[in-house]
Amino acid sequence: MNFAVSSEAGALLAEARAVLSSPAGERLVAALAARRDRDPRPLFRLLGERALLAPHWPRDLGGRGCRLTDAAAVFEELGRLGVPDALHVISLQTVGGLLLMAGTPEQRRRYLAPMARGDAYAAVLFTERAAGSDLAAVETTASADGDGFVLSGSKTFNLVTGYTDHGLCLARSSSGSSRYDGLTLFMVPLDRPGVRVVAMESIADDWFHEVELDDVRVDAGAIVGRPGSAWPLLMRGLSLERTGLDCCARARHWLDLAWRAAEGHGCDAGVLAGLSRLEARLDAARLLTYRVLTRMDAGAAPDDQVAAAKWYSAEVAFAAAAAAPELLGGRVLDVPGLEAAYREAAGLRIAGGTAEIVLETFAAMRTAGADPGGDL
Amino acid sequence: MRITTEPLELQVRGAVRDALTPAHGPDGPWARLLEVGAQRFGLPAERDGFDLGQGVQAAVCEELGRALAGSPYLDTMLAADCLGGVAADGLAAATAAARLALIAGGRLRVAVAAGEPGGDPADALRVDRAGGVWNGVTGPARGAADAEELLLVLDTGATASLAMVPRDEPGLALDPCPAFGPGACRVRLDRAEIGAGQVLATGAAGHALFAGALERARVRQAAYLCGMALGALEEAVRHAGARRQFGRRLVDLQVVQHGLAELLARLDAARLRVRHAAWSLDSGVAGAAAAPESLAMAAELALDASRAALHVHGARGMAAEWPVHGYYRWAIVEAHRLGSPRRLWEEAGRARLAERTGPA
Repeated sequence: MNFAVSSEAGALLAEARAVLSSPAGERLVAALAARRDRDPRPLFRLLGERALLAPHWPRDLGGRGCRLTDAAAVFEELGRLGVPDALHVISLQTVGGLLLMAGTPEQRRRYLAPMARGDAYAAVLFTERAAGSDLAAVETTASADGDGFVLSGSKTFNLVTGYTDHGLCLARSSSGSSRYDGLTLFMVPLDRPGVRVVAMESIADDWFHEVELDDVRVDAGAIVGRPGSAWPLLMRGLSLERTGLDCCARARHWLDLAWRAAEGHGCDAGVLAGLSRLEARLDAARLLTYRVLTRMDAGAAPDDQVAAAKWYSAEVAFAAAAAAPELLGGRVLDVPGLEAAYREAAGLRIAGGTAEIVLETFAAMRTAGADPGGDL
Repeated sequence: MRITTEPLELQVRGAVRDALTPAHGPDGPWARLLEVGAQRFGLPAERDGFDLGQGVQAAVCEELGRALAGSPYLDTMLAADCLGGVAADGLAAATAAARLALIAGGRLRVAVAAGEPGGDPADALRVDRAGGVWNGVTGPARGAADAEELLLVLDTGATASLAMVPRDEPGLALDPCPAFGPGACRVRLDRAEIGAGQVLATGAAGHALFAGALERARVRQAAYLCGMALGALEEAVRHAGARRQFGRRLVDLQVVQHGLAELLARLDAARLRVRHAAWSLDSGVAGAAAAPESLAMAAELALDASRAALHVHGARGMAAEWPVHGYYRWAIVEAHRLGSPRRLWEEAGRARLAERTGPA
């Protein structure tokens, strides 16, 4: 195996660092890292101007046509600096990735190019009060209305919706032969009449939102993928939010905070051993993640490898957030960033597939067949 | 960073797996390993080796762990690394060259006799060299009963003496200690006279020689432990998929299934971490934490996996008839052989701290 960092990744990272350390970049990063500001859009625009926000997208859509394994270096750098990455993960990686996978040429031009510039963002509108891990239970309806559809329902626990222009909404458009049939994805402009976005307080600094859809009319061009066939697309797209890249980036930032706290409070052998254990686990999480990205660059990643990357990196990120108080005692909780990290970290084992759901996927492939060890 | 398994590694792994299946007789696995030339994979080309690097050796060691067949390969390769680093103008140069030729030819098995397992290398051995003769007792040497020669690692603190001696050298006695594995023995030195030509290195040079070889050996041991975890989990999955209780297969019980899934996911992680350490050694970019961290991670996984694998078998797991007990029994030995996980994490933590605070 060859683990060398490619020259392309090195060059991209150098370019990104130049933007992030420019006077404007540095000011924006400092405010975001110190949590004085939670809106990363001005910083993203700065990166978007130089095609660094989605460098793995095709050039005609505002990217550079580079590999995901190389682009990841930029995403990791944002996380390492403490820039909130949920908007990037949800809008560019997840919704953008689904549109790249299944969008029409017109949809890709219309939505992706502005997203790559940092001028537009999209949220994921999947979860409902009664449909979390079991997404096929969504109750939001899409009724045919002339040449379009009318959407009605209520989405909840959505992140970043306050910053986004569109929402990729999962709705039931027909009753099919099974509960997995008849589901459709729509790109819904969030300024459309009938859409109401309400912030919902959570323990994390980035709050949830509830999105009420009250007879919201969209045209047929809003449909992503084939009508009634969202489920297979969602399954194919799951890997986009389960690479573990975001967890690794946050874990790096949080582990750095823990090291700084440890250096300030004295590192005894037990503390050093605990931090080293986390470093090794984070190294391993990154390797699992890059294995998935490598496979995605080549077409698609196997479900077991995706599940392993997501489960393991979320566990590591959570442990990294909890490390400082556990190793050094509760007194470090008021070290800037540490307490907020702990509040935020709980979400990593829930969002994008709970630890249990992801393990279930992994187990289905590895404990059922003749080769539990799988391919390395 | 693009992570793909190279065809050569897949080929080697496949060849070694074939060679080790089925294992029969004490000399079976080693003889078949020699048939595929495994002893030459890691040796440099000028020593009649294939120079395939640590990554390929990691694949070999995983297969050995899966087959519980680490001896004599692991110790012989550690000895080969020590021999390869012997100064070309020293008294032992001829000894080293001759021994390396024997190893490449598959005609020499070595057991390494060093400190007690899990101990601090700095106070591992109390060997008295008074009056030109050596007295003392080493820690358990893996497979010593079947080895032709012993690599004695004496006083592995800031200084060390490394000596290669035949197993039947006058003044040496082997005390069997089967708790540490098949053929394991402590080596008793009783007024042993070890000639200058047998001493590979002493003092600071001996310490440096052993430290470098130990770093590579730890990565191979880590791969070996990953292989043990793999073998144990394969047994566990096989049993849990076949055994029915309360009308259901054990593997369909979520509490069983998720426990095994977590261990299998940790195995993927540890295998990649070990491969990365192997690559970083081959590339000359390894930090001081790479080897101890890889070994500690793999050791803890092998312990957890072997315990879970036995447990899922129920009482069968303890019966000689089912093979899973081998992983349980030997994981506790192999997990401590080249440093206990607790000490390894501490060592790695100090290295990490030094990297953070040292010059950038």
